[in-house]
Amino acid sequence: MKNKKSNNELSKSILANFSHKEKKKIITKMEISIRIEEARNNRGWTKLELADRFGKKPSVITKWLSGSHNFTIDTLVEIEDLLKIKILPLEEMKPEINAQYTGVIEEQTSDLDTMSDFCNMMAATTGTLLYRKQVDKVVSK
Amino acid sequence: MYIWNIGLSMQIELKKLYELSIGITSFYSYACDDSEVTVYMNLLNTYAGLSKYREYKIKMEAVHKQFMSMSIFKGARDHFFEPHDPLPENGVCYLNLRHWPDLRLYCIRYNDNLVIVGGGDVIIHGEGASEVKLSLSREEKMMKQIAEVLKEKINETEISVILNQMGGMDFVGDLKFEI
Repeated sequence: MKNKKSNNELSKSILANFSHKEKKKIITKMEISIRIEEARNNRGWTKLELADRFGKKPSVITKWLSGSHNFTIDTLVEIEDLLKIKILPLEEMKPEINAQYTGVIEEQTSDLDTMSDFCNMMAATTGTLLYRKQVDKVVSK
Repeated sequence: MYIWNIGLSMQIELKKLYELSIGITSFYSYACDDSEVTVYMNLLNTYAGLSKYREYKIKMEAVHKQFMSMSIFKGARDHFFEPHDPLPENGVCYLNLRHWPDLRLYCIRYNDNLVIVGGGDVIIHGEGASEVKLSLSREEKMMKQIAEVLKEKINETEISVILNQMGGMDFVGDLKFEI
């Protein structure tokens, strides 16, 4: 009974030290390996065939599929390219300043009396404080 | 480490590892001859109290966390285990560990939702290597025997497998048996 208790204590202490960041890392690694495995299955390739297509040893593929491999960006890009899957969701990252506003700025600034009006107009147009801050910087210069 | 005598019949009890079974995968391990401690917990505890084996402890904790993560999020996918291509018919495999390839931790994987975690050892080279090899072959043999007995018991409906509320699977029946 004493042993049982100490085992539970051990498990509890491990669980207590299981941080959100650590969980996220493990899950991401698992998720990537699942995507690779699913893509491999969809294409009907064996592990050997996959290794062959990548020009890697089968043991490397085994590591990739373990769910605990720390991939480099280069490897992920290679995997995406060969398996035609999306692993890195970089397209979700949008540039801070969208070029479509440029025309509006040029057209409307000529009608504005002060820089303050210009700031208000930009803040209203974008709905964020981002432009406001940037314009404030320009004004202060 | 639990040592047993090969050739003699042995009492086995399957015990659910509640700390790990917190989601869509249930993990079980086994204890021998009325012991309270499962072989998996034995492995987890090995050297844990000794400071010079701190590295072992950290890695073993990582294994524990990986099991927890499987249960919470992704299930025990076949490619987290070796061999998986093709899958062994009896389900006996070992955990595919990138961060610790020297550890061989035997399991019986039934599906994404049910895994029996056995014992194992850390593969070493040089002095003591043959002893570790022997203990690993014993553990593999043990797991194969357990898989065989369980298969019979499931076929004879002495033990059944049911889906639990969390999406994992549980063994139901008399989980004490001889091998």
